[in-house]
Amino acid sequence: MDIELGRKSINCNEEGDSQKLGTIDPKSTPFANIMEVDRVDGRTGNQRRPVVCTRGVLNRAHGSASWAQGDTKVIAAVYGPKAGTKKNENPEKACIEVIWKPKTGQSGKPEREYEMVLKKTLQSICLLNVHPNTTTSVIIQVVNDDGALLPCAINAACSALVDAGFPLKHLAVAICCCVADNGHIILDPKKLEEQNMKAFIYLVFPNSIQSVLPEGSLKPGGEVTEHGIITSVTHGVMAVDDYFSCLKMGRAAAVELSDFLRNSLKSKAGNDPSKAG
Amino acid sequence: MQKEKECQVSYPLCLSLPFALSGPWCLTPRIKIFAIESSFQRSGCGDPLASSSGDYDYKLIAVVNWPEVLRHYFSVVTTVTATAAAAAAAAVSVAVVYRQVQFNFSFHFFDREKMEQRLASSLIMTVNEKKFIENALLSDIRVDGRRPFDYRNLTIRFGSEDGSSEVQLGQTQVIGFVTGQLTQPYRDRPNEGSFAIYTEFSPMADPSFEPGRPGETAIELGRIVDRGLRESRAVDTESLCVIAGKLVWSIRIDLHIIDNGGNLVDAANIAALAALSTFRRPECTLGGEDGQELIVHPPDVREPLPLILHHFPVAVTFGFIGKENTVVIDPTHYEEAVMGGSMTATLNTNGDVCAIQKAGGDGVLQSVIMQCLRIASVKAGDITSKIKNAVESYNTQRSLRKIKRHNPDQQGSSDVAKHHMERLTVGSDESGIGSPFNEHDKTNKRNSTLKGFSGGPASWDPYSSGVDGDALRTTLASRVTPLDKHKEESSPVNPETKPSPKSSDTNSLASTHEVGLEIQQSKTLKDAVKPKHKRRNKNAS
Repeated sequence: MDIELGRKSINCNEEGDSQKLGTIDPKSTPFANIMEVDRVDGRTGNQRRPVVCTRGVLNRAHGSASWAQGDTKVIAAVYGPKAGTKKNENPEKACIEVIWKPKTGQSGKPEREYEMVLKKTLQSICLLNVHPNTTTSVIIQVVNDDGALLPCAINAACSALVDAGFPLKHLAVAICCCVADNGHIILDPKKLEEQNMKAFIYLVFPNSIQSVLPEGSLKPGGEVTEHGIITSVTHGVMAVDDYFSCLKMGRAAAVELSDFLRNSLKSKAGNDPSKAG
Repeated sequence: MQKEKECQVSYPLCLSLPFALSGPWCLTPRIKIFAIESSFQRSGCGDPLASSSGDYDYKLIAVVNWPEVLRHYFSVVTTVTATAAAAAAAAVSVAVVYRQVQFNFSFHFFDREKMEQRLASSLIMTVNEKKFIENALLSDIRVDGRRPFDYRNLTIRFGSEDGSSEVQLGQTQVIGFVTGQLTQPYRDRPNEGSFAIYTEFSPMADPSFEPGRPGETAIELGRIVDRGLRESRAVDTESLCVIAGKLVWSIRIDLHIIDNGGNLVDAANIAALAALSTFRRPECTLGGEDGQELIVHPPDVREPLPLILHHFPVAVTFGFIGKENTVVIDPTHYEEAVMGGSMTATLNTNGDVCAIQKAGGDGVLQSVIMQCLRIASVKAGDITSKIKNAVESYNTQRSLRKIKRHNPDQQGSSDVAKHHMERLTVGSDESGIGSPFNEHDKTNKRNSTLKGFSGGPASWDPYSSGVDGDALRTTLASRVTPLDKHKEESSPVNPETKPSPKSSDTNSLASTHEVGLEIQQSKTLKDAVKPKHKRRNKNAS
């Protein structure tokens, strides 16, 4: 399994998940010269685009965040909790309502699908029993779409929920991997790359846990929680092995992204008290 | 003279019943069961069978008595059955109506719940707040410290694509997108293109905005912006024609209100103007074998063309608060909740009034209106110059980007530095900031002759952690000249540039610093030749 992974996704680090991928000189990896993937903007196969995360962009919203991965930019706003749940929702729990606003045009079927995926993902990271019989609205506005739109939106929504102070179990870290025709696994594709690939996957992982407790207590049944997958949405056809290698690459990228997320969300100096209205 | 009174058998009740229940009665609604007038003198016509007035149908049933008895009996029976049936029908219909009413009531009930929720989320001003605002205005002070005729800070930013703008007016934020499509022209204007404005009041702007159909404020806003652009012929539609009568460009302007801090009209108008100024449409030529085929050139083959805007119609909104004809310009959402009326004047710098909108509200003296118009023309000039400056800096940066892509060897470090500078300055708010740095860059360009420097773009993102924009600007400015002299490859340079951003303040992650970090490094040919240390870098906040 490892050898196959090594062949197909050469840039994937074989020394363990904890090491940051970015610090490796590509030339030193044994398989580097076999598979230099030529991407339009010069990234290697396992390089993400630069991420810009800004919290508190809006004044009226209770929580807001903007997330940009390269040219893909999404703004998320959170209002809530508001009184009452929707008609068919369980009143014992908090209800999450997602509204997806595309860049131009009317909301259609793809927007409904994104809303549904986002709603299910957010429901699994929120502590829904803290505010029963309430509705929290998450509104997503697409500013620019250049590939990996749904992961960008999930990250933005998670940051906006943190900005609003909504109780969460853990953060959600979303990443996009795609499988090229020749079997390479590529991370964080742009729109043109997404369209030309054989298949691509959106993956959402819980963020890595930083704990003062000893290591053993965090692994129920021997597997670390952060290896769980919250959401996986695939487009296109891929082999099962490809899927597993995407998972491995995605997990590694998610670990790094979750560190960044934790740092950036932590460092905002106190919430603005005048936002109460 | 026998005059039998006509016998109307439960006539009105018949009609009120649903048709199914009335049966035979409704089939002959006009037949009064009987009316005989043996002597009929009204119109001088002696014919008893002729009807004189229009509404009586006389039907001669019989002259003989026993048919009359039969008729009476018939009428009685019909009356009785009619009343019985009517009673039954009435009972049924009441039941139906009751159910209906109940249904309506339940609908109404749900509506009321929703309405309550909407009211709860809309801005409710207490009497104290209202009085405070009015009293403060008596001494020419506004709640946020402005004077009555001061505008809030205006920031115009552009997205990475052509035709996308982001405007921030105080706490109000609006984003605008302009897209174009080839369509058939309207029949009565075969050689003119068209444009349409779509306004979206996003629910993220205000808790009282609902998703779905636009409310009346949204429609009014769209109409004001549309009138300013269309009727004044600001957008040149004749240049949008490709093939007369067959193909023209149809421009679509989408305005998304994402934050409601008051005065949405002005902000949306500015967003529309900014987006229109930076929009580029692909160039089309007629070609092919017969010269009739349309070729749309992609942007990397031929430079796309901008739209032709004759002038900039700028909207300026005034609010009338209180009874003393107090006027404020650019009201915040608190002032909007308190004001008695508002007026929006759309003017351009040529002194033309493109549109005025004063829809109801408190009456205002003519002198006040004239004063407002005079003030509006001054403000329109200010805003127009701000828009033009922002658009110009965007265009310079855009052309620099293009130059880098095509001629990497000739430009060198000066462009890298300029690129960084532009990137940094575009994000940082006031469009006025852009100009001093532009001049600085120009002097650098004149001085430098370096070709080999590619330290900046080679690294994926030199700003590995949070970076203070100002500090970085100064460090880059100081670095540009000494680095010009090094004609080495990037690797020794990389470690140099990287520690400096790292050492700078990592905690300056204030929300205004989305600035330098949206850098999408463009590749130069040098990068293809020499593999660099690709820093896997992403973030800063």
